[in-house]
Amino acid sequence: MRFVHVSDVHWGMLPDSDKPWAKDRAYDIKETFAKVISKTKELNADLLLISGDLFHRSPLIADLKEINSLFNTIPYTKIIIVAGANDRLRKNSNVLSFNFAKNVHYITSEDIESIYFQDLNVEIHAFSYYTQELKTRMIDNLNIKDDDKTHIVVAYGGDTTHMPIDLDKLTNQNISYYALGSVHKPTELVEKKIVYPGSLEPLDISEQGDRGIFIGDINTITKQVERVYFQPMSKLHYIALSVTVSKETTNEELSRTIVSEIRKRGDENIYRLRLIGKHDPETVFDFQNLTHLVRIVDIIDESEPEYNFAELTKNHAEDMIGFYIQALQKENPKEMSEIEKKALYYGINALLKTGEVKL
Amino acid sequence: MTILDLTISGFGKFHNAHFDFSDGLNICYGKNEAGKSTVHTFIRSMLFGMEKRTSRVARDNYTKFEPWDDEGLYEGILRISYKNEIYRIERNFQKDQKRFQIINEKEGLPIASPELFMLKMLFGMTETSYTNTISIGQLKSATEAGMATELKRYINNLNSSGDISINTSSALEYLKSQKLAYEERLVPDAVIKYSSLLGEIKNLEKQISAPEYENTFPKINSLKEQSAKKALDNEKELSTLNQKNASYTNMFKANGFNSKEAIEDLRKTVLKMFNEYKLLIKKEKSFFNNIFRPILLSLSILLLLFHIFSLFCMYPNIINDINVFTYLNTYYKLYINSIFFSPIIIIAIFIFLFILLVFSIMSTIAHLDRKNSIEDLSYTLSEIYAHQLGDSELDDDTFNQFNLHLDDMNKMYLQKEEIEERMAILISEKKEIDAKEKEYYIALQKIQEYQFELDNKLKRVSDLKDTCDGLKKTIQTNDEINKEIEALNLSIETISELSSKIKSSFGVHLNKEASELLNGITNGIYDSISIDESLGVFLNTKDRLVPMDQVSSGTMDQIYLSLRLASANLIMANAEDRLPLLFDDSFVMYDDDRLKSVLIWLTKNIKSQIIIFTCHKRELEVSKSINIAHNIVMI
Repeated sequence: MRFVHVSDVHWGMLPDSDKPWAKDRAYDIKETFAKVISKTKELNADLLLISGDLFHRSPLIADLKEINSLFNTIPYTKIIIVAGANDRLRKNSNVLSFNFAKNVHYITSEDIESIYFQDLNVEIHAFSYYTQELKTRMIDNLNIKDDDKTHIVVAYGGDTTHMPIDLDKLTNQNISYYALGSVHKPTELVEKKIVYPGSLEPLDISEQGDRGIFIGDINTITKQVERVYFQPMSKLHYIALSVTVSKETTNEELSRTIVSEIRKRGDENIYRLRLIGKHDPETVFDFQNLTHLVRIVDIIDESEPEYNFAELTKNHAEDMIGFYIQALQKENPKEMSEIEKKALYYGINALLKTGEVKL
Repeated sequence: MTILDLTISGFGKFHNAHFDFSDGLNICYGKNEAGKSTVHTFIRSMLFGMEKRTSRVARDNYTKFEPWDDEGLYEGILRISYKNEIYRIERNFQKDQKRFQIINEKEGLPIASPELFMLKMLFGMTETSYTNTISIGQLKSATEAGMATELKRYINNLNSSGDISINTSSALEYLKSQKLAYEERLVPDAVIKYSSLLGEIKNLEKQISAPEYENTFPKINSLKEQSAKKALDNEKELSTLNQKNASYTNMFKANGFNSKEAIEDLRKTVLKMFNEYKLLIKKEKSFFNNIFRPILLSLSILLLLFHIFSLFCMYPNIINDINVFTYLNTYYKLYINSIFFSPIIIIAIFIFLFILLVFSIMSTIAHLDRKNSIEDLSYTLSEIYAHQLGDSELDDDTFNQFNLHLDDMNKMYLQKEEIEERMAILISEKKEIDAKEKEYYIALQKIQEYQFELDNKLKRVSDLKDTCDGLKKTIQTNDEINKEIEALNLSIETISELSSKIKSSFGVHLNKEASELLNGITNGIYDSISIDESLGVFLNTKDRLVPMDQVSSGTMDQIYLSLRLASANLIMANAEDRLPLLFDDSFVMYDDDRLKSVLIWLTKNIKSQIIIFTCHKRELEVSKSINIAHNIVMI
């Protein structure tokens, strides 16, 4: 029996909402999910397990309609959906009254519900979230009979405030596969048994690396997962780049370097830049024009102006510059707060710039 | 320290140049472009080296004075006298061949740490201080107003930063403008907007959780489905019963019954008829009817006829005419003669015979009637039996069967009645179900409406949350900008604090020193320099304060000189081995008198070596005219 496991899609989210590509990313999520459905069809999967946070927030009727029309294209695949902490159900949820396609089983129960599929001899145990937090150990003690059915759990959580779990207890239960959700990094917690597929598309800069789904095969006779593997599906990646600057680096040069490094790694990807090194104090890095060329979500400028404070202090022992450096600088530069460091640079920059001082 | 001589192997335009200096006043004369500034720079480079420069200006100096030809020598020697010893300072400026050593000529050995030696000799002065103090140029501005501004700035810089070229107030202005630029990038109402949006979101979410929005769809839908199932069952049953009922009705109709009573009526009728029939048959079958009556009838008719004939025979005429009766004549005549003796007997016989006849006829009629009746009855019964049973025998068996059949009919009628009762119940139930279904339908409609409203609210909440996310990022950016502003504030604060400190310590000393010197240089015309809070510079005469803008350019130069000398004095204090003072075209603006007076004052008050670089002959002439000992160096 073949299954596809996906979770944390966050359909409807606007990632990097203040950036120009936010709407594109929102669309990417939907498009990639549609690809997941096509893949499911291609693989002739028997089950599609969606273990929570399919939606970013409580879905609107329009969202349900859109997704349902996708589900309609795979009528021979049984789809099991649970609600996670973010798209949790409420007493007033429109999910409760929505007419899903026949192959869709949206679990609306707050307690564990079991659904048996006779043609597959598979029993699914699942529940949906109605609250933001859940401190109960929902799946640690399921008391599953030792019968010939293949038992699968679909659940969201696994941390202290969302369905805490005990891995030993889980592995010892008569469950063939735990389809979990909530962790955005694809993780095989216990080999071929307990899996987090991770988010489908990376949702912010902290989600670097591949993103996608897990595909697996279960032998319903032996009730064992024969294999389960990660399939990357995301349209792009978040990448952290470090660029070293030096005294010689000019603004144009830096911009060119950044653009070329980004183009090398793909300019559809989204980058966080970190500038390190010492730059010419007179050079001011300005990245206004970059935002139109490439996708940079933020720039962390850890570069420092190349001031030789020792020399400056020596040369200006008796004047304002020397006094100023002494007033702010500490023996161990690591002891200086960020504000103090910045003040030091600002002050020296201003004094040198407005004076006729030769360094 | 006294400079003895220079040997330039290669520096700027000089190759293998040598210049000697003496104690006291040295006047280096050279036309413009002769290389005065080159020599000046050479001396400075020999003292401080031309390395470790971190600004582009320094790099330019290296390139600027690098010798043009390819001989490659970029080096020189400076011989000095210091603390009664002669030292030879040797430097090679070539980038790859940098060399620096100081040789004590008496011992013939290089000094172990030349840098330390230099530092000590130069009173720890940096090149900057050197440029600001003992290497004295002139005010750059050509105009008086320009000079005044420059001098004021110089004084203020010196006062507030301890260095003429550090412009504290401009630095502060610059920092303030940076701060303003950052402040303009702040989005001030981001936090307010954010909290108000949060408030709106909370409000909407409260509305959304109101009980009337509870989605009771699953419950009501299942009720509706149950009700629908019930309705279906009801209909099924009703339809079945209807059919059954109809078939009963048809059957009854076919059997000719349109009511229950009709059955019993028929039973009664048939009973009556059958009994009658049986009776009639019985009667028919009786001896009387079957045999006696027809005999009687025929007999009575015959006898009557005979009697009537006999009467005719009384009239012998008739009889005689009839031959047939001749045979019977005898007997017949006897008969007639016997009976016709009495007319009464005749009449009696006639009446008797007549009665007999009538009786016979009536019997026969009765018989015929009976026969008819029997036929009718037979027919009717047969029909009924045929209709009801299909069997048209008219016997007791059939009659019994018929009765049983009617019993069945009765039973079926009862069943029909039961069915009808049940149907009535079902119909009333159906009414209830329909009513309930309507209720459910309305309820579901209402749920739909609420869901639609809810969906709108949900969309609004979602949009607001998206906006909030954007604002969160703006707030974050704000925080980062505020950090920069904080840093700038710290910087401004620190510089301001330091500036006052410097002013209150260094500045005081400087002013005092400068005032004394100015007094001397101007021959007592000006007492002192004072600076008020708004950084206005004033010169004090015996009777009044003269704002510096109002003094002549010559005076301003004198003030400038005082300040430079004061700065130098402050560094060198009352040391014995004071450094030489280098004047670079400093007296251009001085008129002859002032020049005379300053040269006199200098030679009288400055103990150290004085080297004046000039492109004018005036200094030479004046020195000569006032008989000041001086050494001439031609460049």
